[in-house]
Order: sequence, then structure tokens, then C-alpha cells
Amino acid sequence: MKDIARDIGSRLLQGIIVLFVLITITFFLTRALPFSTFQDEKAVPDHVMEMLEEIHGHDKPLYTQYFMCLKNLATGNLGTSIKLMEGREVSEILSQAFPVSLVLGLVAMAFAISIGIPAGVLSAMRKNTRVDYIIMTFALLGICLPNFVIGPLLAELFGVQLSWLPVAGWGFTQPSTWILPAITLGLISAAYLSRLTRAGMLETLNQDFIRTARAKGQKESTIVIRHALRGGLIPSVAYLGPAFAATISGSVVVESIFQIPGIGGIFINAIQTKDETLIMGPVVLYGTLIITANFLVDLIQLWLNPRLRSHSKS
Amino acid sequence: MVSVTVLKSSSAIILIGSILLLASCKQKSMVERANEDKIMLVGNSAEPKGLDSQLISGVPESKVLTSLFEGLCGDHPSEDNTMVEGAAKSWEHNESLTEWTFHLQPDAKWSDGKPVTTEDFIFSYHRILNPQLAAAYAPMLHAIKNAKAYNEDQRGFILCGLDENFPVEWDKLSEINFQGDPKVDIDDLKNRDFEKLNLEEKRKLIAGRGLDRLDKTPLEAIAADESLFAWPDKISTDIRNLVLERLISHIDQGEPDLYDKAQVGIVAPDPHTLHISLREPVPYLPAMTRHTSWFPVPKHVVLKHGKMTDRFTEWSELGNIVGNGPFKLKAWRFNHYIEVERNPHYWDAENVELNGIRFFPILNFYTESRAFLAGQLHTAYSLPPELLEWAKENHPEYLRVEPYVGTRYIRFNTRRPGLDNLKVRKALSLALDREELCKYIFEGYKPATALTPKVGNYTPPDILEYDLDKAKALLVEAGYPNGEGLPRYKILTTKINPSVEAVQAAFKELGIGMDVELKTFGPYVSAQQAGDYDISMAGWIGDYPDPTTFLDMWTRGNGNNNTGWSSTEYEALLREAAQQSDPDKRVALLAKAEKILLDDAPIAPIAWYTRLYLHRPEVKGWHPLLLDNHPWKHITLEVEK
Amino acid sequence: MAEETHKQTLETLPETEAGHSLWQDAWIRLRSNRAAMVSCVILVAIIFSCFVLPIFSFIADPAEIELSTKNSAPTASHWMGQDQLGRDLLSRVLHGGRISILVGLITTTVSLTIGVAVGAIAGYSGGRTDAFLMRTVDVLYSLPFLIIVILFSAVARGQTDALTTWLVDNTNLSHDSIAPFTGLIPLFVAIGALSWLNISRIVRASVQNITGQEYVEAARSLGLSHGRILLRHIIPNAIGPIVVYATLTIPSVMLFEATLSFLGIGVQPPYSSWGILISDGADRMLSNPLLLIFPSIPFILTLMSLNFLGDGLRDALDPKSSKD
Repeated sequence: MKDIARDIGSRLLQGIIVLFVLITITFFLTRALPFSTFQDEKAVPDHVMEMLEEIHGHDKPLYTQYFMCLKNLATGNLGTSIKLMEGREVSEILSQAFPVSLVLGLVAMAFAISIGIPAGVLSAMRKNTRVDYIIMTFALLGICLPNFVIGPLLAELFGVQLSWLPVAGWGFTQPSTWILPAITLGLISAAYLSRLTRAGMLETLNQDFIRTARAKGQKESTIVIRHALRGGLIPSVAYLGPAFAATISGSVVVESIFQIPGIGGIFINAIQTKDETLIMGPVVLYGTLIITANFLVDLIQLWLNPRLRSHSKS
Repeated sequence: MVSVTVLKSSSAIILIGSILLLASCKQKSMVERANEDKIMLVGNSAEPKGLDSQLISGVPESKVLTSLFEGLCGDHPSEDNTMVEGAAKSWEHNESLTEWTFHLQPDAKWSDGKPVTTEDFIFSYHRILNPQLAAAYAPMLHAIKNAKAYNEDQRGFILCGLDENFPVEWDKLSEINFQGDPKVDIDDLKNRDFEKLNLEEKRKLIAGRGLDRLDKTPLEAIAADESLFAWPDKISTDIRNLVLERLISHIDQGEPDLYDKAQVGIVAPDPHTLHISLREPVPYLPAMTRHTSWFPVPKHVVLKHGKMTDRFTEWSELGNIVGNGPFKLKAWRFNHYIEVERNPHYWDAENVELNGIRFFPILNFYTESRAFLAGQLHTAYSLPPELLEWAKENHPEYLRVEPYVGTRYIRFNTRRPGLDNLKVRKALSLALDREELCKYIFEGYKPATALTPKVGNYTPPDILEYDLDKAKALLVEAGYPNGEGLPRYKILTTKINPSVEAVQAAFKELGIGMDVELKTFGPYVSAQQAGDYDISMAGWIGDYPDPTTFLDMWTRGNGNNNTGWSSTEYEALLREAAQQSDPDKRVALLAKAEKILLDDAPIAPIAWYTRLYLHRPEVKGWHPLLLDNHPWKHITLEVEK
Repeated sequence: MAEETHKQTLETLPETEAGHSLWQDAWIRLRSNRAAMVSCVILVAIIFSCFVLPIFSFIADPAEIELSTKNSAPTASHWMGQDQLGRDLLSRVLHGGRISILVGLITTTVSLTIGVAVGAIAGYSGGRTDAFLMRTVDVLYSLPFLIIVILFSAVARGQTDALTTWLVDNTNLSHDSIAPFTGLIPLFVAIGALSWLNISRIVRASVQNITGQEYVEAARSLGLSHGRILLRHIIPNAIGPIVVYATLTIPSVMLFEATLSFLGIGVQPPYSSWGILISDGADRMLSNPLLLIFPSIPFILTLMSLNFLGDGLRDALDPKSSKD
């Protein structure tokens, strides 16, 4: 029990360190952007510029600004946007965008898992047959085709030509708007998951205790589900953490293609306007999401693979 | 074995089933439903930064603002130069076009039912000009008498010059350095403690800032030691002390608002009559009042959520915002859509046909085209030029190609070696085959013969031409045969698209190879303002249908000039035109000025903008307009049977 | 018989001598993997086309613009047709391939160098050093990759000009030949610096495995320095997973570069990469689908080939291969 607590505790601590590093990197990179936040297309008079900088604390030295930023974040204060949507609370903006990105990410992951893992299992069970080759070829294509090609292709086919699905926008009550973006986003993870599952299943299926079970005359499906799956899924589960991170990163592209009002679009626009609070907000959010996801995945791995637990280390 | 087959076949069934279900579920498209509800679906390119018309500017913002608010004059649905009623029912002016009187609609109301009166207009113009608000578009109102002085917080002028009882006329006082000398670089002195500076530095700081911008400490220091400031000889010691006394006491009083003392030229003899005094004749004043910076804001709502000068309070957010336009705000989901619905309190509500409008901020224009073709939009913001040919062939019924009040041009940094030579610049301009470029690159645009497109009664001079041989000869004359000896320039731009590459290739033909420097919009603007560029690709969209919106910016020190070029002759002609109330004479002077600009070639205009976009035929009341400001109240959706 | 000899050889582990026959084994296995062999051939063909062919004059200048014939279909003089500015598409594809492949190779090399170094040191040293290094890896692993690269690229853009100018002034190289690469340095740094993480873990596992072997104890007792042991004995035996991983990293780097090009922060014009060509083509899908199809073919072929090869290498080098 104490060991499990220690495992969990050390991972939590690590998570916090990650967040801290992320915030620091973001802070300094943002400040390093080579232009001023407050200028506009049509020139802003000097004294107006000065006033704006004073209002937002840019006249103070850098380290003071850094500590203020840390202090604010520690108290959960994400501040207000200073350029893109000036005056609006970052938390308010994110509270509208975050559910969208979250649902998109989850649906994409659900798609990836529900297609990728069964495909991998099937492939492993039908090793070296036509089914295997077909599935693995699709998986390879999924890995090699960029999502900014797949997205428009799917949109053109299913949205414009066939008119089955909407090609832009997002509706929480309209699941049809989720489909194309989620598929585009989840495809690469599905591909990786299928390959990893196949490899993991094959390795497990080769082991002695499986042969024993077969010799005992157990049904193939029982063997697969009851015995092989737990070990066979290890590589896939290990990949889920990075898969989630990749999904989040990839959402930037997908949101642009399908005009999804998620965090990715806000982030890109914020960088282009050097809106520091609106850059930091999404970064902290993304970071927390990924850390949480990794944490959960670690827990699942601990459950699946007893060898990883600290008390079993000799 | 069995279960795998079951697994396979059941998933197959589910898959096929869902596809069939989706296919059969082919309901009406979004547009069809919107037609029935009389709601217009508009592609609006970007999420508005806010809805406070006095702090926000930008085309996507103005589309939404013009549905929620209304200026003194309204937009005519099909004629660029005809003014119609707006918040003002009628107006008149004096012969010299300097005094204007607007009569407000007697029954106009805000969307919360309160009446719209001149009190709101006076408050609004006061607010946008208030230096504490730091409104970037306040200069749009500088035509109003003394507005510039108030907006730029010209204390010396306001406290001394405008005071009739001051012993000396402003003419003498104006020689004093009140506003600061921009040539003096005080960046490293700005944040340091004044007391700690040495004598030389103090003098420098004071000269750079100007009396109007100094704090109390430096002012008192000058009072104690005259030599710290370069006083003109004609100003006697008494006057010097009086000026300083006024400035210091203004600070002592807490820097109160100088609006009244500034005597800004806006007066309201009664709640429905607004009298505006201008500093010079402005024949196009009614057109200017259609710009969002001239819109009124509701005094009672703004003050409910903060002081007049608080930036970005909640007054303009959903639930609080109140406007005098044909629609009111219904929903605002960031980056998703903004929805407005009919405003029953609008003075002309019975003539408004649409029930509502939904604005979609679709940034990616390819996505927008797809959305349009999938029946999700009535009108798209912009068609990517690459798709023009394809659209002409496949969807001519949707395609719109309309002239727009803007110019694409190239800016030269005349301070750079080589570019400081007039012949080099002219050669570069002559190397641009504008016809070819418009045919293949700036598809739909018109080749520019000058900077300013045809607006109002102005005909642009026909100066620019393409002549590669002449260009090469000029280079030889300039001492750079075939481009030898010229540094390798960089073309600054924000997007990688065929236009930059074509321009690059055109200059290469002259023998001048250049690189492309890509920056995002922020750094792109900064670099030019700092003079940190060689050549840049630029564009300018006019704010109102008058050539001055294109010509005013090329004066010395103007923040939108950035070429390092200026000409006293040019500026003299502009000033003369500003004083000229005869429209034809005025336009002739402006053309003369533009000729100077084009002959000196600090810029090389390429093409006049055309707007390319997809648009559904059931949208009625939408006509090609140079300013692209289609008044929402005149639009209807009529499906042909 | 042959089977048993192989197993025996594998179990009495490698000094470099026994490793010899391990490699022979692997090569035999690889040779029989048809997909991997075909991939090798394809890769060689593509690399040859991109790096050697453009030297010949029958390949047009990729920067030459011909506006009147833009977007035209394949002809005798333009085998892949012309792009939106009338440039020869075949030439653009070949030159673009140079850059994409180089990005893949160089970034992977950067990645490998750092990853192998960190992983080897961690796996060999164990204890505190190991824990510290691996914690660092874990921390970096959790960072949202694309986000940081985007931010970093926005900052680094344009900073490389000084370097280009310096190089042009101080070497014989022309501006046009250096510029595309110096412009890519932020990209190499950003991608390489964040993608060494996986490699370090794999190398560490491998090294830990090998370090536990007796012959390493022997070497230490002989007085060989740690560095020598690492370089001469341990790393060469960990090469297997390293090679496999490298082969599989290159495609993911190339894909990443394509994504960055789509977002506008990868390679800059007038130079092109497959990523730019493909994203431009995707935009123009409706008006000229060939602009998408032609660059996609070598891109996908390269990626798939690298994947097949990597898989083949992994199967060949891993005795517990999943192929029976």
C-alpha cells in the first residue's frame, strides 16, 4: 500500500515539475517574440503605446514580470487577454473553447481505440493472411498521410460531394459535426495503435502459457480475451499517453481545417499577436491535460504490468 | 473462431447501417433552413476582438458593429456616394463646408428602449477623443475643431493657446517645443529617475518629450533653471513662467479632463440637434460618419460598467450591450459564431426584413469555400484566388468579382543604400508587368495606374507603366548595370503566396536577385515602423471614399508612411486641397499631389483590389459597393421557386 | 542444425567476434523479407533521383516562373506538369525531396546523438545519474511538442539570417545553396532537441541489459576506462535497436516537417520541401489535383519504405521475432 502511494506521489511531484518547466519555457519564449503586443495595422501613437505598456506591467523588469506570472498562476488566476480579445478573462475564453477541444480529443481517441485495437487484435489472430496485410497496409497509410491532406479529402468527399456531413463548425448538440474532424484527428493514433497491438498480441501469443491453454483445448476467443489481451495490450497502453499528447497537438491543424472553435485556434492567434496571457492559458491547460493523461496511463500500466511496480523491484 | 466472425460481421453491419442512416437523414441544408427563418449566414473570416466601436477596428468587427449600431448617416445599398438617413434624419452645412448641423431621428431608441439623443453623441465623441482611453482610431475624428489637440493632450495649446485671457497669442507660443522632438532618442532615458540624470541627459529628455509630456519634477527643474529647455528668444521670462505655472498646476490638480477647456467643436443646442465645427472644409464628412469610429455608444450603459475612460469593460459584452442599429446581440460563442436578432426599438424596424444574422469567423478560406458549397453559408468572406478559374467554370452562379477600395503596393525603404536612388526605385517599378500580374496572380484585380483607385469624383492619374528596357537603362544610369553593386535585398511579407514569388521573379529579370523575408503580421508591422526592412509587400484599404484616405499617410513622420520619404511640395498641395471647398478644384490638387508621390516612387502600386467571394442568389438587396459595407437592414432572403 | 547453431551463438553473447555472425544472421533474415528489400530499392531510387538527377540539365530550374502556362497538365517538356506559377513540378518535387530527406536525416542524426549519449550514460551509470537523467526525460516527454516548436519557430525565425550572411562572406558557398539550410536550423534544433527522448529510453534499456553481462565486468577489471567500454563494447552491441529506431524516426520527422510547413513555419520560399508542395497541393485540390498527387507519391513511398525497412530490421535483429 505504501509502495503504491509512493508510486503515485512521485508521479504527482513529477507532474508539477513538468508544469513548472513548461510555464517557464513558455514565459521566456513568449517574451522573446520579436515584436510588440500593442501595435496595430495602422500605427499606434507613441504615447498611446507607452500608456498601454504601463497598464499591462511591461515597463517592469523581466524577472519581476516572471514572478508575478508564477504567483498569478499559483493562485489560479489566468489573467485577461491583453490583445486578441482585450479585457476578456482568459478563463472565460478557455471555458468556451476547452469543452470543444476536449470532446474532439476524446471522440478522436475513442475512434482511435475502438478501431485501432480491434484491428490490431484481428491482424494478430489472422497473421500473414490477406486480412492482416490489408489492415497493416491501411495502418501504414494512416501513419504516412498527413492529416492536412486527409481532412480536406474527407471534407470534400463526404461534405461537399455527398452532402452527408458538415464540413465546418461545431455543435455540441450536433454529433454530425464531430465525425469528420474526429476521424481526421484520430486516424494516425488508430494506425499506430493497430500496429502496436498486433506486435504486442503476437509476442504474448507466442508465449508458453498460451500454448498450454491451447493444448488444453480452450477456445481461441477465450484465449485471446482472457489470457493474451492483458499482456498484449501493454505496448498500446504505453502509447496512449503520447497518443493523447499527439492528438492535442494535432488538433491545431484539424481545428483550422474544420473551423472548430477549440483551443488550438486561440493559441495560434495569440502567438501571432503576442498576447501573453492568451498564450500561457492554453499552454497550462494543454500541459495539465497531458500530465493527467500520462498519469492515468501510468496507473493503468501499473495495473496491467505488475513488474513495473516499485515494490517488485529487487 | 465463431466469435471472430461474429465480431467481424456485426461491426460490418453496424458500419453499413450507420452510413445508410446518415445518408437517409439528408435533411434540409443549413442554408435552406435559414432561408425559412430569414436568418442570414455570413462568413466573417475572424473572431471580432470586441464590440466597443471606439476601441476596436477591423473589417470583421465592422460587419458585426454595423448590424448593432448606426452612425449619423447610413449606407446606401447600391450607391457608394449617396448618403441616406441614419441616426440623423437630415443635415446641412455652410458654404465653406466647415460648419455642419445634423438633425437626429426624433424617435430613435436604443435597443433597451431609452431614447437616442445628442447627449449620447457628445459623450461618445468625448470618449473616443479622450487621451486616457488610448483609442487607436481617434484620428478619424481629428477633422473636428480642436479634436486633435484634445486627443493628443496638447496642454500648452489648450491651457495657454485657447485661453483668450492669456497675454500672448498662440502664434508666438506655438514656437515652443510642447510636443517633443521625435529625432531625439530618449529610449534609455525614459524609465530612469529624473533627479539622477546629469545635465546633458536632462536636456535631452526634455527636448525629446516636450513640455506637454513632462512630469512635475522636470517642469519645476526648468522653472529653476531656464537653460534646461530650449526656449525661443521671443518668449519673455514672464511668459515662460506663466506657461510652466499652468502646466504644473494642471498636474497638481490631478490632471483633470481638458475636454471643456479644449473647446472641441461639438455642440448640441437641443437633444436632437448636433452641431459640428471642423478645422478645415471636409466635403465628405457625411461619408466619414458612416465609419464605426463615429458611431455613438450608449452613455447610460457605458457609465454603468465603469468610467468613461476604462478600456474594455463589460459594457459591450453579451447581456449588457445596447445599440441603436437594426439588430441586437443574441449570442456570442468565441470563434464559433455571433448571432444578432431583430431590434424592435430601431426607428426603422418595420423596413428591416431579416430576422437575424449569424456571423461565422472562418479563418481558413478553403474551409470557408467548402462550407459554402456544402450549404452552410449564404455569403463567404473571400475566395482564395487559386480557385477563381475553377469557380468560374463550375459555379459561375455564385461567383462575385467586385472592385474594392484598396491597393496592393510595394513599399521601398528609401534610407537603404541603392533604394535611396530615385532611378533604382523607378526601375523596379517599371519592371512590374501589372497586366500580366493581374491576369495570372492577382486574379480579378485591376492593374493600378496610380495609388488611389477611382473614388468619388476623383480620377487617378495614369502614370505607372511596364517597360523592362527603360528599367534596365535606368539601372545603368544609376550606376548599377544589370543590378551589379546593389545589395541583396529582402522582400518583407506575411504570407507565402504566388504574388511575392512573382514579384521576386520580376526583379530577378532586371538582374536584381532578392530573398523573401517572412514575418507574421505583428513583426511585419513593427519592422516597417522601425525602418528595419528593405522592400515590403503592402496593401491599404481606404476608410472612406475619398482620395485623402490614401494620400494623407505619406507625410513626414506619419506612422503609416515608413518609407523615409517626404516632400514639402507634396504636403503643401495636401494642405491646400484641405482648405479648398470647391470639389473639382480640390480633386485636381490631390491628383497633382499624387503625381509627385508616384514620380518620386517611394512606393510602387501594383493592383487595385477586387473582392472575390461566393454568394448565394437568394440574398437580395446586396449590391457591389466599393466600400463593401452592405447595409443589413436592406437585405432580404428570397428563394426563387 | 543451422537453427541450433544460431541459438547457441546468440546465447553465448557477443564480443565483437560473435557479433559478426549475429549480423550475418540478421542480414540473411532481412534479405528474405521481400517488403524490406523492395523498400531498399525504392529508397535508393528516390534518393538518387532527388540528389543526382537535378544536376543534369534536362531537369528544369525549379524557380523559373512561366505564368502563361501555369497549372498545366503533364507534357513532354514538363513530365509532371506545371504548378500555380508555371514552375516545372517534376523539378520542384526533386529539389523538394532533397530538403525533406535532408531534414529527416539531419534531424534524426541530431536526435540520435543526444539520445544515444543520454541513454548510454544513464543505462551504464545507473543509480543517481540514471534517475536524474530519466526524470529529465520524463519531464521533457510530457511537454506538448508542437506547441513549443511553434512558439520556438516564431521566435527563431529570421535570426538565422546573420548566420547565412556570415557563411556567405567567409566561405565559397553561394547564397542560394546555403540559405535553405541555415533557414532550417531552428527546425533541426527544435525537432531534434525534443525527439531524442524515445531513443534515450530504448538505448538505456539496451545498455542496461548489456552492462549486466559478465564480459563487461571483465573489461572493467582489465582497467579499461568507462568511456572506452561504452564506446567500444556497449554501444556497438546496442546498435540494433538504435538502427531500427532511427529508420522509424526519419519518417515521423518528415511528417512533422510537413505539418510545420502547412502551418507556415517550416521551410521558406522560394525553396520548397515535399511538405510545402503537399500542403499547397491540398489547398488547390479542387482546381488542380495533380499538384497534390505528384508530390504525395514520392513522399508516401519514402515514408512507407522507411517503415517497411525499419520493421524488417527489427524483425531481423530481434531473435524473438514475431515471424515464425
